[in-house]
Amino acid sequence: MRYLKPSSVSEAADVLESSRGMILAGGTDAYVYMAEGFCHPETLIDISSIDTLRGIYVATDDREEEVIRIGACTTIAEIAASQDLPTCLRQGARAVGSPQIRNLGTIGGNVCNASPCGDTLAPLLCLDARFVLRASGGTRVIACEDFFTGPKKTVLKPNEFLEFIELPASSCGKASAFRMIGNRKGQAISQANASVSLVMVDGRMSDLRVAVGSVAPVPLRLGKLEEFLTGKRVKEVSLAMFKEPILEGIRPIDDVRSSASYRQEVTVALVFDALAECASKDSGECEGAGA
Amino acid sequence: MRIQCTVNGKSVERDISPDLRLLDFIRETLQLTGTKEGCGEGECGACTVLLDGKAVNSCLVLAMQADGSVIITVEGLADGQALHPIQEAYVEVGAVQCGFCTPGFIMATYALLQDTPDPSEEEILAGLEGNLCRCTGYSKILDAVKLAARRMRESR
Amino acid sequence: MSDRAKNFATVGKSLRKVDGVALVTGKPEFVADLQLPDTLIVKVLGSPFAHARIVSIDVSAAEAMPGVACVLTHKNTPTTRHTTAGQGFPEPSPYDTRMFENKVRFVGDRVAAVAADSEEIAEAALKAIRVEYEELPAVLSIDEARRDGAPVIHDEPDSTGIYDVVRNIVADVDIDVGDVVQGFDESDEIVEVTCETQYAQHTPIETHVVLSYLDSANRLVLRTSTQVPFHVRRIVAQTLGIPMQQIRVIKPRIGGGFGTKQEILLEDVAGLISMRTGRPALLSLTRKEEFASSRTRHPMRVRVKLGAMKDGRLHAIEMEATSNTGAYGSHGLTVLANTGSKTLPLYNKAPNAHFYGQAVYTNLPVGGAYRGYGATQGYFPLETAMDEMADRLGMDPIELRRINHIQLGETSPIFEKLGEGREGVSQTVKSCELPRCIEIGSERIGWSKKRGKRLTIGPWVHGIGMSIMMQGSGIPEIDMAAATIKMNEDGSFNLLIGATDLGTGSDTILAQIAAEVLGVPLDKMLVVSSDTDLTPFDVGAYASSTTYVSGMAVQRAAEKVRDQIVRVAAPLLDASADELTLRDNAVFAPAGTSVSLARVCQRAMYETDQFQIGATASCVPHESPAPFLANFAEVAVNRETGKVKVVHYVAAVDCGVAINPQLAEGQMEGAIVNGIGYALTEEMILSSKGRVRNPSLFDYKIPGMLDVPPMDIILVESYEPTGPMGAKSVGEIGINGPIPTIANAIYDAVGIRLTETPFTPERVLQAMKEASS
Repeated sequence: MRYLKPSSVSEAADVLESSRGMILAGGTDAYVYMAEGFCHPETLIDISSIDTLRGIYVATDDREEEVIRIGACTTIAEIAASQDLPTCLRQGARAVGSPQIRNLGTIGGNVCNASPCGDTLAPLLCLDARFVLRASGGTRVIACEDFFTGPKKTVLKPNEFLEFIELPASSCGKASAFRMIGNRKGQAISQANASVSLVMVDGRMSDLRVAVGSVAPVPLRLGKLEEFLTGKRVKEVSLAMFKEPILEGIRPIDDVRSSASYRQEVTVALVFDALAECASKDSGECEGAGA
Repeated sequence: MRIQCTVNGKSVERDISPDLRLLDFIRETLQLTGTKEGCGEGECGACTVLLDGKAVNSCLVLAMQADGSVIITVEGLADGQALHPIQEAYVEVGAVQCGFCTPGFIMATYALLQDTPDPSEEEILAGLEGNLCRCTGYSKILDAVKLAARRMRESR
Repeated sequence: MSDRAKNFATVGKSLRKVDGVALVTGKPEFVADLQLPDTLIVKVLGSPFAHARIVSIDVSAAEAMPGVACVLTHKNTPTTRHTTAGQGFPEPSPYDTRMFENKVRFVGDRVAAVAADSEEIAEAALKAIRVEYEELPAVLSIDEARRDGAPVIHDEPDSTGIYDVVRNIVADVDIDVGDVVQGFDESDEIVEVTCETQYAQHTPIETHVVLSYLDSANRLVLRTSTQVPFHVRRIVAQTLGIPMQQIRVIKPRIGGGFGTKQEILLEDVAGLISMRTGRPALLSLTRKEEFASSRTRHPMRVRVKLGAMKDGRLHAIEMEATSNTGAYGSHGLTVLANTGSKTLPLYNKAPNAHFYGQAVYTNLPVGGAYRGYGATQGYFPLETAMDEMADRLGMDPIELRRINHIQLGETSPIFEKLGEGREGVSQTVKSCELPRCIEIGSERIGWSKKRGKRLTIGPWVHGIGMSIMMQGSGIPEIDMAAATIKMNEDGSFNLLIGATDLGTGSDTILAQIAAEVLGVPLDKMLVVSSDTDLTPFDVGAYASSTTYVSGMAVQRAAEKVRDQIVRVAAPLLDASADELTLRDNAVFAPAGTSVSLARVCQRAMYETDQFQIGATASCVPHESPAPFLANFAEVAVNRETGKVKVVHYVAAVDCGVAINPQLAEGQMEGAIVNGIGYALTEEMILSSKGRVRNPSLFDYKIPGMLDVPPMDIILVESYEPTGPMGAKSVGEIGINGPIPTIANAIYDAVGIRLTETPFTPERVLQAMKEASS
């Protein structure tokens, strides 16, 4: 096996083009797959020390709009700790693994691994994130909602890697929250998770995004629910009202962690909980993301 | 491939295979067997070491990714015969039963107290949530961390 | 500190473990920390099928690979049938296992082993082994196993000790007292509960591992992570057909056991490889193999029926247990018997009792010894039924326990009728603080304030539950432990014990006992343990025997040494030996004059009538005095998600005199947290083909730091006259508490009776829905 450590993005893109090897950043997923025998890369391309791939800062995107740009190799720990990022993304990052995993794992890895239960995915979806993909021929930008095509499947081509994640400045000004339920409090893997962002206008919910993870092959936005809730006051909405609009689109699976019907059941509670937190705060501390 | 790094304060240079894990580099190449393997998949934390000041699961890091880095393992904490306050506290309150998870816990504690010298109980629990123990029930480990934190603050 | 402890100098003190410093500094103390040159790495090929014959196996490609030193299959290994259970000889488990066989009986069963220069080569060689299997219909549940025409799992002619081969029954137990049928007829109120407990694994953080090598005399040395070094020696000798004196077994520090290492799982394979190649061999299980191919808790279905009079007196108890022992029968009989023998004597007031049950083979992962050893599975329905009975009679659950539990001075006919497989041994309770345990514990949890109140905060409803239990200390008339003490001329002593420290701290507490008798501080006691060449016999660490049995051997050896010391000292102090006492590293005469222990030993070693001051002593216990435990838990149940949180857990335990209170607490805390995992989150999930679907700490959830509730461990001291310094035991009992206590608390909170573990959010939510419809 060859191990390469390019020192710039263009070098990485060229090496990827010629070798069609496997991108390695934190290694927290990659290494487990290699150990399990799920993949046998001939070439590993370690991009974790390329400076331009790390960091969180204000920038201008390809549409000349202001964004918060996150380098793909920014660690999950850095995401969780950053005061410049929306709450739901920080909470999602905080829910990943353990301190050791968060120190190593990168947000790019969480996104490209595309596990249905990846904790940063629903937050990115509800923040209208866009992904900048780099190849030796150039870059292209894909919206989060178009990026995931199935469990562990994305639109990434073999000669492409994720360079940046960009969040519209408007998303970053919204109230947001993330909730998950796992089987043990620490190191839990989501059986279901939900992320919500909104703006309160005269006490009514608007500009809503409701995204759920772990209950479908890809993270999902619940469009019907968003419509239903728009313009309403939080107090007008109760848990019982949710069941109809929410269940459409959710296709959970039975697996060792829990059954499909249970996942559906608790997703309702999680969305409601996240909504309540969003609506109640204009600022203020968000509690840890466990349910 | 050639790896060059600093381990427990000493400069180290070796020729290794590119697919060697950092855990095996530490245990086999360097014969520092304090760091343990409990699961090989980043779940139990028994392999925790400090890599450039951050606690990581060394079973999930390729040794070559640590080229040019600073590594601290449990063998690097004591000062000769004098135990580090964290080590002392773990022994004193009975937080060590079989001791297999202990080096990993001690390194995670070291990382926690380095970043948060006066942690709340919640911060301690969060800082150690990546380390599993089957013997102690964690109760005395929590006591040990609180004791170590207090002593380290007092000695400053 | 108790009044009694104030009179001790070393016992009763929370002294630091003797191995503490080595462990926190990462010294190379564990099996795999010893790295020998030229070591072969051994990998095992596991069966992909739950039940199959090996029609052919071709290892030629593997053997031909450069770097492969040795390949083992059924064709080139000894065929001796044995048990893997680490128990005293003759083992009460069937001899139904061959090292390698042309039949496999569970997914992960051994097919072949490869020894190679590196792990990569060994794994590549495994892949190159060609096996042709004839798949057989598999038995995947205890109900299927006993059906007419069920596949016979152990159809080989040379296995012995199986109760009914054709019906896949390993063991059958049936004992009774009085007449339960009549008893139930006479009862005013009857409660019946059937509970099922799941497959669970011990998950010691260090998996099973052995390093074998030949020493310079060509003897086979097995450096192994085991709870039973002497049983390893005997069973490996038997399996490999070599003289026992050719084998030395050394247990260094080990990374947890909890029963899964009371098994001879790997040592025969590694040992044979070292013998054939002349090279050291390291065989360690991956975490996946640890889950699927080592040992597990016995899943059980246990039915309890109670008959009581209106005033609360129990009149009849019936317990029927069916145990899934998996593909091999190790510990099958004894865990089954323990389910009744450690539970029914607790309620000795019932004149009629019946325990019966069977341990059944299936083509599933193999049950073995696991802390609690059947009592864990038995207390779930028993304490649930008691809780239900209290409800029916309109009594406080605590009151119902008080009326019925065994008391100081009492006995139960069950002690004699039911032991560990064979008959038991009659005994009378000579120490029991259970009433105080109940009193203190109920006060601490706030029983009267909180029970029935259903405090509700948002979606969380709170409830309180309790349970009581007993265990044992060692296996009477069967277990044996021995200790040797020899003195050095500086006044220090070497303590050589067969007893096995798994991290429990037995090296420390046994040294404390010896130090107490000899009047020296702990650091004068230099411990060597668990080496079959150097230390005397000990059955090993199981059945909560170490403190009670090994401790008594140590106490006796120390007393013999003390007698020798005072004999030597007497002329130096111009006094008679029987007037002298030992303390503070010296021998004291009544007048107050003294002579140091160093001086005494120097005299004996170099000066007059020279001899080595030292002695060996043994202990066979004649009873198994029970520790007693009262558990209380406050839980909060989320009505929307079904999640159960333990908010507060109180355990008041009578373990006799606690030799080292901090270590005793540590045992309780670890056992309770393990029990909470067993109650709430741990479950090995099997596919429809008998494969473990979650053989990983990723998907098999053991408690972490964030899952631990505030726990109060209260040591309620009693004095056991038959125990060393008054001690009993504490190693196992704690793990039996959480399941029934949490179940009873959930009932108090939301009115549902859960009878299947683990109490996952999904199960709880489902049960709440069913109850409300």
